[in-house]
Amino acid sequence: MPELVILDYGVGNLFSLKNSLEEVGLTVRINESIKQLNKVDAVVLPGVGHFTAAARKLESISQSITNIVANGTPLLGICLGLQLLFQESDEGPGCGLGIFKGKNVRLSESVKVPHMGWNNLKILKQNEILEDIDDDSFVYFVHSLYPVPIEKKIIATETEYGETFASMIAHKNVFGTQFHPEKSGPIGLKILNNFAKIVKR
Amino acid sequence: MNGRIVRLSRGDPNTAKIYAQFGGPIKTAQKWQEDGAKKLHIIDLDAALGSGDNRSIISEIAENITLPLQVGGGIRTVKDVEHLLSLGIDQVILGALPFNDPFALNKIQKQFGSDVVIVALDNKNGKIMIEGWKTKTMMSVRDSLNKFIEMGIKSFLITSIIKDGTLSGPDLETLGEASRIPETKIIAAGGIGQLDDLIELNKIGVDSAVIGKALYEERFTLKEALSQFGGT
Repeated sequence: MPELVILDYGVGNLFSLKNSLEEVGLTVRINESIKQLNKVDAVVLPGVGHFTAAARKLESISQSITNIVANGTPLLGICLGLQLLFQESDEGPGCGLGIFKGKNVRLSESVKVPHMGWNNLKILKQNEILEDIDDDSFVYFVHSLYPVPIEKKIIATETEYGETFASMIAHKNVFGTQFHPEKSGPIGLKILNNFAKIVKR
Repeated sequence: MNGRIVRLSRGDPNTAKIYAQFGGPIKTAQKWQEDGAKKLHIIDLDAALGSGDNRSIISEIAENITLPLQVGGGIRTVKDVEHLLSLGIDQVILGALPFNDPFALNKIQKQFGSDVVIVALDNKNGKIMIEGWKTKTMMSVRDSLNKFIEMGIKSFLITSIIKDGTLSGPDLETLGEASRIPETKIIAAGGIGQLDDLIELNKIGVDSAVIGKALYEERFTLKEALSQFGGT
């Protein structure tokens, strides 16, 4: 069975995420680093938390992560994990992995923050991770910031909350969701299952 | 209670009726998830009443469900909160703690953020009741809202005790007043008996509603309720 690593950079509970990924048929390990691990078939960056704290923890392993991603290993960033795929954040100082160009900005002041609740996905481009997911599907969000990719072509779905923001990105073997698929009921599980299919290839 | 799903009338444990038509708690939780529930609201009545607890079943539900979960009932210390969050629970519902130990409430907000906390304002005859609805406090819903909003709480669960478990309609007056306060999320509970009740709650601006007995007595289905409101 393919082995997936959820990187633990001290931001919040990983229990639900581990459960959901195991449910879609992956062996899951939670680890602070991928350096000492022999077999890494996929990496997940989880999290609800602060960009600066997570960026600091990722510093020592950021090169290892970008290396295995360059080799084609599937990577999924969830919520804060998605934000860490970019360069920086208005939430605080620190460098993300920089896999994509762009920075994370705060949601509009005209809405209640954090964006905590269900909202829908407007699918901009089809992708294997969105297989069998209908346009306007509802998923669960908990966040106060969102990434603004410089390269618009990586944006897979958009969502509206005060303004329109990229809620999911997909580019080759790198995926990211601003929402929490592990809290989004059957639709979330389907998305994770699609990711698992990609990992198992 | 005792590992089974129950509904009480007006909070009286002697009126407890067990509902197992969808199976045990885990199977029932899965049914609600399949039917499109957006969150599950779990109250540990034994813990609230001080006569045991159902933590292991709650843990099992968390393992088998991929929806946001809010849990209440007998959460009395910061350690209780920590433990539940570690099980993957998303929000804790606190009834007695905010009144008995505001210090702990502050600590919980600092440590975990105010978004994991929902303060329960279960009320009867104008006063908040706590500890399994056995103890009366001297505070009203309005005073409590003011006090806790000042402390940084944003989400409140307001339950009318005399309406709870009666299917006779929610307490629209109290809920309407609370919903007019900006920057707060009001969760309505107690008395929802028909789809019209949900329409009324939506009109007065409540953020979300907890439906219990009406679904277990099959007065209407969750799918019917969701189709009224477009899925959130």
